[in-house]
Amino acid sequence: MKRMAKRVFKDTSHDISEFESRLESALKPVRPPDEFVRDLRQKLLSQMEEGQRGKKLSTKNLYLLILTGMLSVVLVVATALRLIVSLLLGIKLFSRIRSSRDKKQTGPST
Amino acid sequence: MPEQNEEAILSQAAQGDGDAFGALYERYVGRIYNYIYYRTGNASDAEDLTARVFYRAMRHIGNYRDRGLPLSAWLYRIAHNLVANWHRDNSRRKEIPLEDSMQGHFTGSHPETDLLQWEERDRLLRVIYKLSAERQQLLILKFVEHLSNAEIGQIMGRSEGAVKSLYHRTLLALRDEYENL
Repeated sequence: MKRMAKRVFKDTSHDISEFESRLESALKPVRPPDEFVRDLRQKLLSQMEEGQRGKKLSTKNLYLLILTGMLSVVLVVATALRLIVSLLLGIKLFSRIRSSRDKKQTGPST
Repeated sequence: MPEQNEEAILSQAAQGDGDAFGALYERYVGRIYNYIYYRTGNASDAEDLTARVFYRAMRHIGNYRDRGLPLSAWLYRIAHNLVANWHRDNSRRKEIPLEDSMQGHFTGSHPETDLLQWEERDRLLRVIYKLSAERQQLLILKFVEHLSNAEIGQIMGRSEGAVKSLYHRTLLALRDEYENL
C-alpha cells in the first residue's frame, strides 16, 4: 500500500515537473514596443513637470493670501483705533463745551 | 539600480523629481507590461492599462511608504486592481488574438514544428484563462516574471507557505483541465 502511494506520488511529481516545463515555454516574457515605452515616459514626465509647476503656483497663492489677510487685519485694527481716538476726542470736546457753557451761565448771577 | 539606491530614488521621485521617477519607470515598465499582457491577452489593452498604472503611481507616489512592501509589489497591486476592473467592465474574458499570441514565438526554421508548438501554447493559455484571477496572477508572476514564492507572497498578501500550496494546487488543477480539454 505504502509502495503504491509512493509510486503514485512519484508519477504525480513527474507529471507536474513536465507540466512546469510546458508552462515555462508557453509563458515567455514579451517586450513592450519601444515607441510605447518612450512615448509614455515623455507623457509621464511632462505631466509631472506640470504638476510641480501647479504646486509652486499654489504655494505662491497661499503666501499671497496670508499677506492679504495680515494687511486686512492691520487695516481693521487701525480703523478701530482711529474710531476710538475720535470718540475719545469727541467726548473731551463735548465736556469742554459743556463746562464752558456752565461757567457762562453761573458767571453773571454772581 | 541597486536595491539601497532605489529607496533614495524613490524619495526623490516622491518630492517630484522627474528624472528619479523616470528611472523607476524604466525599471518596472517591462515587468508591469508583461503582467498585464498575460492577464488581458492583448497588446493594446496591455499598453492602455500599463499607462494607467504609471499615471496612478505618479499621482500617489508621495503617499507611498515602504511598510515592508517593495515598490514592485505596490505597482503589481495597482496593476492587479486595474486588470480586475478591466475584466469587470468587459464582463467576458477576451480571447488572445492570433497575431498577438503568435508574436515572437515563431522561429521560422520549421513551420510545422512552430505551428504545433503554437497550438500547444494556445491550448495552455486557454486553460490558464479559465483559472481564477488569483491563480492566473500566481502563474504569471512565477513563469513570466520568475519571482520567488516570498516575492509573490508580498504582492498577493499571502505567506510564502500559502503561495507554495496554492501553486501546487494550481498546477494540479491546470494539468487536469488541460488533459480534459
